[in-house]
Amino acid sequence: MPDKLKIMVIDDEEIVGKRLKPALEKRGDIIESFVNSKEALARLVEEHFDIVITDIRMDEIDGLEVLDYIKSHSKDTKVIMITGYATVEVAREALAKGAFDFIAKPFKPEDLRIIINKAVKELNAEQMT
Amino acid sequence: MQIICISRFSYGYGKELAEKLADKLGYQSLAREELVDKATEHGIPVGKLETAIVKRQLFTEELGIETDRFKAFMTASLCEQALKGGIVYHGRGGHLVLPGLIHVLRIRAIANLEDRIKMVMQRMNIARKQAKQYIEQVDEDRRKYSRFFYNVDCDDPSHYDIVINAAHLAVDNSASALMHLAQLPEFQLTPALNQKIHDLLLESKCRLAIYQDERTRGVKVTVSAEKENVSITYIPRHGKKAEAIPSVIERIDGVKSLICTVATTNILYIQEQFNPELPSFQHLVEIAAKWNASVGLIRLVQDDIEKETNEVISPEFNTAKDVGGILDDEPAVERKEESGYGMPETINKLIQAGRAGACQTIHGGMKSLANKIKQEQNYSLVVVGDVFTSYNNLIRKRLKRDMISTLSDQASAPVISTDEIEEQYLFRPKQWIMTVVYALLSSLMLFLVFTNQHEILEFLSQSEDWNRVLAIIAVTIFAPLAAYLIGEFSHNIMKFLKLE
Repeated sequence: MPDKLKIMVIDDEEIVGKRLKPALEKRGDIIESFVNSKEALARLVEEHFDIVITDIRMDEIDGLEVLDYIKSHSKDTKVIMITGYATVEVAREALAKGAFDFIAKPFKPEDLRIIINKAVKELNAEQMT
Repeated sequence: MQIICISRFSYGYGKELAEKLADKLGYQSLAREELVDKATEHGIPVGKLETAIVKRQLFTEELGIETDRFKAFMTASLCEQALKGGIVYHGRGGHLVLPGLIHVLRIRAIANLEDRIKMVMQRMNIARKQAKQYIEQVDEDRRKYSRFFYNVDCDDPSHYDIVINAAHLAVDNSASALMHLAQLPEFQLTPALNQKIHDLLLESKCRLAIYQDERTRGVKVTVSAEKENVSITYIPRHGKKAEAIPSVIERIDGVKSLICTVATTNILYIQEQFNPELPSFQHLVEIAAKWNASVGLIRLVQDDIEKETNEVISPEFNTAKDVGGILDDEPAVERKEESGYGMPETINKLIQAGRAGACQTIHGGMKSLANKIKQEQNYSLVVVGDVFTSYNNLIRKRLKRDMISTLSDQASAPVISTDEIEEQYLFRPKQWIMTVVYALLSSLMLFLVFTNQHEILEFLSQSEDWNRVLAIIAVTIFAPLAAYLIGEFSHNIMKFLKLE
């Protein structure tokens, strides 16, 4: 695993990326945030990301479609779903489709960091095997 | 208006059934998901609540209050819709947020597991294994949700008027059968039930207003409404904030009068290590609910250092508005020593039950505890649990007995051990049997006395010495026995009438 993780944040509320980016960058990781999921998918074609954090309910392309795309193109990318309006049932659907975990709004960046750390551990274990 | 609630599985056929039934009856079909969206728009973090339940996260007092706020929102929404016209609600626990409305038709729609797996595989485009796992997880989440929110097992058929299985009936035929069932007189609205819907609506509006208003946010309340007369009770430690309740309530339409009182009854529970799963704790919560009391916790530390640590948990409401649901990180707080003694879990349970009082840790053993009890005389009951746990059983029992006796001298309230709670304060089938036995024996005794008055008087008034001795012995035995039987009978009746 590289020292610095490449993390993508997708949420159609601009404030989410604005608040998460500096909080997650503190650890030295590279964070890219997108409000438009189409643009985010285009970026995913260009570059590999270790972790993608995406809101479930978004206009145009929703979080579950983003997940489908990632799982069919980059299986080792860990996807963390954010639920705001969506209930746990939708989050469970995401898990069944291969998402790593989910977190419900409102949350503190520290809570998200705990999930990211778990994802990193799994990524490391996968690389070892 | 008629209310029909369909409890359904995910990927069953409950949604189609609800829509078909609503269509046949000319009612509005209302999905839980619609109400959840509206609640989220109102700022209730439903996703957060559900996640905390399914991931078994620690429930803060804030989340406890948000749970009640969500329940109030659901009740208000269903009552508002029901007053406009007939509704068919489909989702979880619709009937559970409408307590007392006995005309609600409660339906459980079940489906074949294999059919559900096939539906999930098709809809989500996933393999059979994942589909089965998904269904099992969602079903388990629903069970956890029902247990947590309403303390009921959603799979228990006794919570429904009818359980309908899609494997044997087509949706249209099921809807037709239910339409006929809905015509039965048991499911029709009466004027009294109509008033009950108005009362429930007013109650939930008051709860929502209190939880939403900045001045009263965080105050845990119990609200009841009867014919536009509202009564609100809050626990003593919320007294300061609760002063604003009347001004919050006066803005609600339809409130004729308001009685706002503090729950003056407090139960104090003393332990060295807490465990919310213990039956004695469940009994304590039951008594607290019966008395409308809050339960304060004291963890007793048997050491020589005399100090008090206040562990009152006050809700801190983070405003997630305008920050996209991303809150500020808090500075790392050192994990408190008390965390390992079952206190957070016990507080959680009390929060869920709406009975959380103050929590403290008292060092210095008996002396500090006795001082504390002497200072605070606002308890109605002091319950001593497992203390002196480092000693062997015999010494522990003796020390505990001494402690109860010392605390009884200091406290103005009864001090009892956890073993005595059930027997002294709860009315169980055993008490019913004993009440009947005492009643029969007392009646028999009185019957014999009144039907043999002449003989009894003759026996008592005999002049021979040995007969007088016999009379004294008889009276000495009979009088306390009579007092005991009648006393126990009256005590049980008072307990049943909650007048203890």
